[in-house]
Order: sequence, then C-alpha cells, then structure tokens
Amino acid sequence: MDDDNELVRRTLRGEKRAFEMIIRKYEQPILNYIGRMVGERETASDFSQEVFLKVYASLSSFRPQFKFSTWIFKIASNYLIDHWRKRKLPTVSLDHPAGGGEDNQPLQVACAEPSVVRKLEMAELRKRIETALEKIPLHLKELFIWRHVNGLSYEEMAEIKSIPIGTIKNRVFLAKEMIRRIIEEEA
Amino acid sequence: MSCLRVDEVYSYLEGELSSGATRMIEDHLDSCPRCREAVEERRILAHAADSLPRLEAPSDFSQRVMAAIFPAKILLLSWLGGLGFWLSSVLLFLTVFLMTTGRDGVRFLFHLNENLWAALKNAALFFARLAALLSAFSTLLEQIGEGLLKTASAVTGLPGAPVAFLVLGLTILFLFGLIFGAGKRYLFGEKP
Repeated sequence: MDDDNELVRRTLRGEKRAFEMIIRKYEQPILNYIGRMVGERETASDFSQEVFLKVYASLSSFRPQFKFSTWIFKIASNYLIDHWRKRKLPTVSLDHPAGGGEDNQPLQVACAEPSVVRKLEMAELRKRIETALEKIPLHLKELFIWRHVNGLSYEEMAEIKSIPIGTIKNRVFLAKEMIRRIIEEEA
Repeated sequence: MSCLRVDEVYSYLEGELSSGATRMIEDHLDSCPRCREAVEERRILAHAADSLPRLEAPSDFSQRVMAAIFPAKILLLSWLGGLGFWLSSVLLFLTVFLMTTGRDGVRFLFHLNENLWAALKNAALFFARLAALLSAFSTLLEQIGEGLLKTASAVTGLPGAPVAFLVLGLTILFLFGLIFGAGKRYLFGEKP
C-alpha cells in the first residue's frame, strides 16, 4: 500500500501525527519550489505553511488513484497562481494554456561558437542560472524548477498542470534554451 | 543524419530516446563538432541546474503548521503562570510602597494581617445573618402560600387547593383585563 495514501487515510481517521509525517515528508520539496518561485525565504516559508493548511483542508477530496505528490504540487501551484493574480502581474501567468505559439516553434541548435557556459566555474554558472530564471516567463520558470530542483518527471508535471506531456517537454526545453541564451548574452 | 534539433539534444541527454535513435545520434556526434559542442554545453547547464542550492526548511516548520491547524488548549501551567505573574506584581508593588513610604515591612504586614482577619470575620458574620434572614423569609412565604391556597379552596369550594388557586388566579386576571380594557376605552379613548 502506498505510504502517502496510508498517511492520508490515517489523517482522515483523526491521527494528527500522520499529517505531521506528511508535512515532514513534503516540507522541503514544497519550500524549494515556492522559494525558487517567489525568491524570498520568509515569504516562501509563509506561503508553504498556507499550502499545507490548504492540503489539510482539502484532504477529504483527495482521490487515491492519483499520486499524492502531484496533488500537493497542484495545490501549491494554484496557490501561487492566486498570489500572482492578486498582484496583477503584466507578464505571462503560471496558468498558461497549452497550444501557445512557443509550443510549435522548431528549436535549432545555435551556431557552434565557443560557449560561455563552458568557460564558467560551476558556482558562477549556478548564480547565472538563478539570475536568468528571474527573466523567463513564470510558467516556464515553474516547469524548469520542477524538473531540476524538485526532480519531477514529465509525466508528473503533465498531471499537475493537466497539459500534454509533449507540451511540457517542449516548454522545459524552451526554458533551458532561454536561460542559456540569457547567460550567453550577459557574458 | 542532419544536425540535431534542440529537443533531440535534450531527449538524448535525458535518456528518453530508444536505443536505435540514441545510436544514430552518437554516430552523428562522432562526426559533427558543432552538435558535439551543443550537447556538451547543455549537459553542463543541466548539471549546474540540478545542483542549485536548496532552501532549508526551518526546524520548527511542521510544528508551526500543526499549531495553525490544531491550536493548543490552554494548559493548567499557563494559568499558574498568569497567577504567578499577578502575585509577583503585587509583591513588587508592596515592596516599592514600603520603600517609598519608609514603613516597617514586618509591622505593616502584621497590621495588614490583623485587618484582613477582622474583615473576614465581619464578612462571615454578615453572611451568617443574611442566611438566617433568608431562611425566616422563606418560612414566611411558605405560610402565606398555604394560607392563600386554603382561602382559594374555601372561596371556590373546589376540593383541590392548587386547582382552586389556579381558578381564582385566572378569574382575577380576567377581571383585571376587563377593567383595564374598559378604562383605556373610556379614559383615553383608545380601543382596548
């Protein structure tokens, strides 16, 4: 029996300890995701707490046939969507539907010039990636974080966003290419 | 094979291709420095992205969430803490009072103690007398009630005293309503 499903079942039966175990299991991944999205540690901690409150409030609506981890990330993603919506951001939102122009553009490898990426130290390259992340659209940033910070599979991301796997892959590749180009341009 | 598309590069790096497709790409990479460079650059980027620093969750994160969901009940110790705070405040006030007025603390406390006991004794006496008074009043009320019931029984001729009292009471109420209603009509011109 899936551990998460068992913990959910025990929580719904009134075992507080079971929900605490859920929190301990997912506090780090959720904090990493939200932390990378909002960029401030204190805000990320507050938002993460709110997410877990929502998780607890919605626990009775969780269906065991779905993966619990993707369900939690869906709640977290929706929480951030609401947050950005309230701030009325002019840029493309997290709630970007499938079928946008970027999903169909062919991606070509750039000209074979000496790459900046190759010349940078790993620590410096990480900093450049973090800076570049702030410049790409939120919906691409989210997928990039899920892929590289949270280690989610394309199938999991597709389940969270209810978008086809092919679209998810294309957007992750696009995010990576945008980051690479930003690093090249700022060199 | 023509040069690689970006999606082919990433799919190759992530091991998402079939063995046949992988072999074809590797054959191409052997002969194409441009694609070889592109693959290597993206491999380094992916490695750096995978090793981005993680945020550490605060050590009390789960407790904070649990406290928000399940607020803790006020424990007895909290009450004792509050009581202790007030007692220490009173003691502090007394100390400051004695120091500023220059009174002898011990004598002051004895005097306070004597007054306190005297006040308690007076209070006890008062409540004892009040209890006696209430008891006497209760006996009086009982006797009045018995008298009323007997009178009602005698007036109505009904056997049961409580029933007789009820009938008499309702009759009196009816008469009051009649008189008052008539009074309103003839004195104030209002309809009853």
